Amino acid sequence: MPEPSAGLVGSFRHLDSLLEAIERLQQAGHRNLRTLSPVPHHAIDEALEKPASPVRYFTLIGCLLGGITGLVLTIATSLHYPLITGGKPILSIPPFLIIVFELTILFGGLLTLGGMLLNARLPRVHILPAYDPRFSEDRFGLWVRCEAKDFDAVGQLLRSAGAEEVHRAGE
Amino acid sequence: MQDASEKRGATPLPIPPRLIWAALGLLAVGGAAFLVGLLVDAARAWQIYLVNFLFWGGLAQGGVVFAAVYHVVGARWGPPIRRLAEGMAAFLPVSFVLFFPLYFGLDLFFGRVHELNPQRGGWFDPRFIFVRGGLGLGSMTVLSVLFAYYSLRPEVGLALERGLRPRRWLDGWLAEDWQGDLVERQRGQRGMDVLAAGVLLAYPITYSFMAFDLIMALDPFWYSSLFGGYFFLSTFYLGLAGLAVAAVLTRQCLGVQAITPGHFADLGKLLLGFNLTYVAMVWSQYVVIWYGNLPEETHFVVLRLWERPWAPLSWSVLVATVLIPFLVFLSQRAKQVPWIMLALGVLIAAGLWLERYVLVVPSLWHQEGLPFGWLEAGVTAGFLGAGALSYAFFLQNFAVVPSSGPHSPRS
Repeated sequence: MPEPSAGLVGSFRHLDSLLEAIERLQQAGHRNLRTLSPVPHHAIDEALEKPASPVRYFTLIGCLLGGITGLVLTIATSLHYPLITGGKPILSIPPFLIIVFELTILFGGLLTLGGMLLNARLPRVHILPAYDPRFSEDRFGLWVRCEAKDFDAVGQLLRSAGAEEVHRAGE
Repeated sequence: MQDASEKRGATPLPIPPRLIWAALGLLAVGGAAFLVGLLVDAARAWQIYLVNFLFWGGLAQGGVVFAAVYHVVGARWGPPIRRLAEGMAAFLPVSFVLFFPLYFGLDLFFGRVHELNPQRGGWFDPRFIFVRGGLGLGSMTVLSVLFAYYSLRPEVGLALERGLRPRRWLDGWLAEDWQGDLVERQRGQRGMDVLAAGVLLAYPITYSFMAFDLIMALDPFWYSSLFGGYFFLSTFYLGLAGLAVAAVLTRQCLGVQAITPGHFADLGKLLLGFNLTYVAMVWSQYVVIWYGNLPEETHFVVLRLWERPWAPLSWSVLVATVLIPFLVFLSQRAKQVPWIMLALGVLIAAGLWLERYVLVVPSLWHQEGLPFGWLEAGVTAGFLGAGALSYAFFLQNFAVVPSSGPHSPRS
């Protein structure tokens, strides 16, 4: 990620002040924001105005694929090896549906996991320059990527919203 | 401003008198319809009474079981939702009283069974069924009401101590021997810990018995060991649907803003989850009967799914309780819209009413045509009136938004 400057990181004690900082920065035209939070919280997603996650399409495609695979598997194997069991027709849908259901869930689950890893760019080899161990404990971090000339203004905004500490990312 | 709207619900709600009168009217209509029905066609009157007894009692019990689950898992996402669920305990004593008239219907329910299948021994003797049903329902009622008692007592006692609440009927019992906020809160917590576990242990047992005794045994030959599990799960699903309806109505009609669209979305997720669990139970039941293909098992399903007049009803049950809610609840937005939640809650509850109808009535009705008319509608309305009255009684006496105690809102 070749950037001229890694920007500033504000550290917050309370979620409310983090949300306030996000709102003020967005009003000031800073869109390249990133939060580091010890816990997931929907309020952060809403404040950052992120679009809905694309992972659900992975889930949908996985489920459809799994369902079709289940149908094809059960029907094709029964037709290739037509052995009458318990006096039922060769193509008996009720028991097939169990396989169809399980493959639907299996493929859906696996593709969801894959889609999540892909979209979150995980596993991450390099630690973010803005990361601080406290952001895994009891503080919220807000990483504002901006030019060096904006540092004063952004730092001011972060502090006025309630940041305990503001420093340059990577330092 | 937010404070004012937040406060609404922190004290008992005044229920508009016209709602009370409407509920009383329904109750009167129901009582009259049942009495006239007994004279005109006793068989129809009793079978619809049983359907409604299973439905409304189950709805209330399902709600209380949800509150017990909420307590046991230490949930915190919706204190008002929990309170609304506890409130359903108000109908349980009424439902218990409504169990006793069933004694006079026992011959109608089980007379033919013993003629056709005399081998059914003493276990399914109607008197024994009645006694164990009464014991089970009685203990469930006591456990549920006491669970609600321990939840309400710290609040009522504190409000009385501070003079924030005029002394009402029941308050003498609720706040008897009041020992101060701190002691009472701990005592309430302990009481709820024990009783929630008690409710959760007694519920599957009692409701399995209800399913075997009051539904399965109506058919002379059918038996299924899964049916009990199927029934208490479907009853829990019913409780959740009823809770969604209660939550929307309390917010939209009585103005309790502490119930938020976020709560609706959470209830919607639960409903979606139990929608899937419910259909899994339906399927587990169906596929075993299909595979075994034993006449004493299949006739029950064939009669309901493939023969008129029951078939269209059974398929409507699946559409109303499974298919439509599943599709709608996939959307996160839809779950937050109060009127969609209301419509879906009513749809699921209506579907489950029809489910109980289809489970009970085909075993008892052997004449032409579908037994549904003014009698059935009237008795159902009567039960609705009784349920609404007991719930209104609860809302009029207790706050929807817990003001103190372990489950008051944190924010």
